[in-house]
Amino acid sequence: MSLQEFIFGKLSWSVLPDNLIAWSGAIILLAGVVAVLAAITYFGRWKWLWSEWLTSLDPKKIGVMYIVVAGAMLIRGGADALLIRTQQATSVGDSFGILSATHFQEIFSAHGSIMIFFVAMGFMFGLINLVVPLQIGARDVAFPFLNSASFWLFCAGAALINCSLLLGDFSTAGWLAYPPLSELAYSPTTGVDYWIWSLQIAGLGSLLSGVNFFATIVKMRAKGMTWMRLPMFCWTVLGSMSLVVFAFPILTVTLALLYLDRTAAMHFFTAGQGGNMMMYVNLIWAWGHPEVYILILPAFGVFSEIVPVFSSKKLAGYTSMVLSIWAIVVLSFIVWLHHFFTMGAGADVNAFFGIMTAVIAVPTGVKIFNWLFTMYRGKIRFTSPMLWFMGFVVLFTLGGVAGVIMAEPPADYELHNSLFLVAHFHTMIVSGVLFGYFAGLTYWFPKIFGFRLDEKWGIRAFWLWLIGFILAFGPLYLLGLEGATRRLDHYSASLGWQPLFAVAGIGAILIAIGFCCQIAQLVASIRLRHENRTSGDPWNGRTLEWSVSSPAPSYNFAAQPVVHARDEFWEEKMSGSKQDRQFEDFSMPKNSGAGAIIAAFVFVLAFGAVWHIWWLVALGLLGAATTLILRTFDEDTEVYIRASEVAHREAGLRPASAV
Amino acid sequence: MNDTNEILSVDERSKGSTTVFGFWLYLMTDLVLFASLFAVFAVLRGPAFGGASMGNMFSLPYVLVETIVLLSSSFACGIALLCARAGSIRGALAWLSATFVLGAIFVGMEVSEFSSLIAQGDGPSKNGFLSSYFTLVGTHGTHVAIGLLWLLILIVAMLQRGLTHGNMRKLALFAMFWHFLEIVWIFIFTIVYLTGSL
Amino acid sequence: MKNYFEDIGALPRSHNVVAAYVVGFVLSLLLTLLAYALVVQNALPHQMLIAAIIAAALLQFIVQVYCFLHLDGQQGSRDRLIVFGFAALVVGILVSGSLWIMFSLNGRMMPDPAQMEQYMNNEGGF
Repeated sequence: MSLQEFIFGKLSWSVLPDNLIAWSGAIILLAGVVAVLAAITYFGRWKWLWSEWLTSLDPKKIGVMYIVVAGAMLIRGGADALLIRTQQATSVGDSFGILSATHFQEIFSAHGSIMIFFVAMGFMFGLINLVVPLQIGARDVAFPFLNSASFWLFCAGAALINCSLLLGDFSTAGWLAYPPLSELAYSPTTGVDYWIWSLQIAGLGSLLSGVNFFATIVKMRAKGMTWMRLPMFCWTVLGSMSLVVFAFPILTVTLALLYLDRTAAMHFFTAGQGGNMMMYVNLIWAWGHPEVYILILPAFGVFSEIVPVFSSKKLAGYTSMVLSIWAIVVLSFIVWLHHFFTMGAGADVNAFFGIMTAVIAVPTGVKIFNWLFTMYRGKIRFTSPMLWFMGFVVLFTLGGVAGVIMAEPPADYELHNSLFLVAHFHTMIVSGVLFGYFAGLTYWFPKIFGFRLDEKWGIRAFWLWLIGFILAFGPLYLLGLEGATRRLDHYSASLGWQPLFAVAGIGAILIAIGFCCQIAQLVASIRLRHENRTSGDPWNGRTLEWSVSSPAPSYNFAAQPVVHARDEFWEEKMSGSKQDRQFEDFSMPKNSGAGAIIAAFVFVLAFGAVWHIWWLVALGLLGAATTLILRTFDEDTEVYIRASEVAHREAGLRPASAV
Repeated sequence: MNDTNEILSVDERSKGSTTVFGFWLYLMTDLVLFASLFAVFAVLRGPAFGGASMGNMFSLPYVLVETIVLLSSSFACGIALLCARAGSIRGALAWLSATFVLGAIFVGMEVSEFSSLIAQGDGPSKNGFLSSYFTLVGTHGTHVAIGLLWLLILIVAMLQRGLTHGNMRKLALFAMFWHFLEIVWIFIFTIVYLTGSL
Repeated sequence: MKNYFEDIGALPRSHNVVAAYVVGFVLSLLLTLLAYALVVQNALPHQMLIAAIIAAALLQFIVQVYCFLHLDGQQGSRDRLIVFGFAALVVGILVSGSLWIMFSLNGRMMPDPAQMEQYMNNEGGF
């Protein structure tokens, strides 16, 4: 090994972008980062940012930061989506579109990885952080410091995946990087290593968050909140977190083994020397299928909160809702083979997993019916959260039926790897997961910031997303049935597919405009915040989070609530009884920057591992371990808050009931 | 003042029990991690491609000694916990030292086994079976090595501050971790070594 | 301080912990030696031998979970036992499912050398 190799690993000048579009991506990224840093410096906000936000252990603030990062990554993933749509609408016959085949492959790989790991997961953990402690009547999560570390690991992963815009290339092996394509022999550059390490660190963060919120819901519920009084959102989060806890370790192993193959010349998934690439597919989907339900369950939970509130009725079939969550949790672990029916397992294996897949539609159907029964004869308010629900229920049911079709192995042999599949899972993830999170964001926004989101812009955004979605993905179902495979960078003009691809492109543009409306909504809401100020209970809510002032105080509850009924706050409002507000002394965690520092060292480690700069790996490992050890010796991690202080602060706040 | 102490101890108790539960969840994630590695091992333990086959790769008596050393280490850790419960910091430290020494012997034996395999040309990059063998057993060994580091830090903290609530809690978590690693080893011993030698 | 471990659920109130550790250690040692002796002596036919040592491992697993990790299903460890049960279910599904799938694939797509030989003879090569 030469000295240069020792110091720089595989880094050299030749890893910088080599074409115009790649350069523009890198420049936009750099300009964005520089602009943000300059703005913070110009306004002199560094100290404020560090002490109020970056080091905060308050789950509400961590939740907001999650959503900000997820929103930024949505722009990146969305830009990728627009490039994909442009390429497929224009690259036909003699025209070859705007991207080279390799670059196109990098872009769809990045699009999938970013949207799942950094947009959907980020939004999900953001909402969970905002809502779960408030809903269960807790002041904090079980492990506040761990929560901060998880968030920063998520950020480190997001930063690493964006490094590939400037330094080196990204994986061309799709969002799940199947070997042998992702092995060193066929992907010799560092693209796949970027993919491995950014997912590995973000996945570690998710795993720790899963442990944290599972423990929070099991151990930190308010007095009197028995299991059957738990708000439905928390039930879905508990289901989702149990999937995180039991599925993410499989991802950790799979990624690690692929990295060992690539770096230590091992033979887990190679074509020769006793490796078995099909084992990779098996393992990655044993994680991958539960992952889908990790994302969708909290979205179900959001709707289970929204539909009763805006229908002015209690949720229909609470018990069946709980049972269906756990049916989904268990079933989601026994369906993973439906992602590779065509790999060649026997008919008995395919039949078993096909049947299990079809069965999972039953508990999901129970939920759909329960929401509709909740609306039935209710006094419905068609606010924007409710509109997102209505859009969801129609599209999600259609997408679900498409899923049941593909659950039949013989049909799957036709549809496998086609755009029909692409359209199906986008229906589930966009109109299921994303619509759900948007609804939740609109619904809980006032609890965090004390003012509502602007309704006018919200409704515009909804319609643009809805129509855009139908235009973008409706054609893909048709194209899939006509035989168009996914990930096409070019096709023959004689196939006659171009008009449908063009319509899909228009749909994508409408979605982009819809996203711009959401930005406009945020800006308008901040400008009109004084008009949109709300009380603690803007929607006539039912659960505990609406019983405290908006924005919620850092300690959530001045006095720890006692729960007597399922919709505790609603019952209190109906019966006119009030929580007995006995203030007591309590302690809250102090701010800590150690989570951010650990994640920074982990980033250094991962960057070194991608570029084979081994001293950087050692440095990162040493730094992260030392910071962690020093943190465990620090016993001064809490501030003690006196009852008199709380009473003083509460006196200055408007009571929740004054609407 | 008396009142405050009362509140703190209730607080301390619920925090301790939450931490034990949370750590248990972490152990369960580790369980799934090892299960995945076992599944990989079971699938790849096929042809040897010119490398050593499992039957003649290792000596069973050597592995038996490893096994008994780790089991004794796990037992010593349990006794240390009982000493701490009885309030004897000297007993706890003595048994934790025994835990450490036995654990270190285990890691040393494993390292020497690995290095002799690599020296005879049967390293992890030889074939799929050896990759999965080294990774499964090595992941367990790495856990034990990290546990040793943790134990060292815990001993330092106990020497510094004595049997505080914080140290008692960390000791309880460490004991769970250590017993868990011994439980994983039962299956490595049985599935990798015993059935492998048949 | 006296009952701190019991208070946080790390040690059970319900069974004698000292006895549990000693009994657990002795039983584990015996089961390990039993499995070892069975293999070294080649005491049973192949299939039965494998079944016997796996049974010994499972038995030792239960002994250690009960005696060392104190998972007895009583008040202090009930939450942990439920999570453990779910983890065991997932591990069972993952391992047995993976093996079922992979051996089904192997059986259909990766014939063993003898089968390959026969195929080549019958078909005159690929």
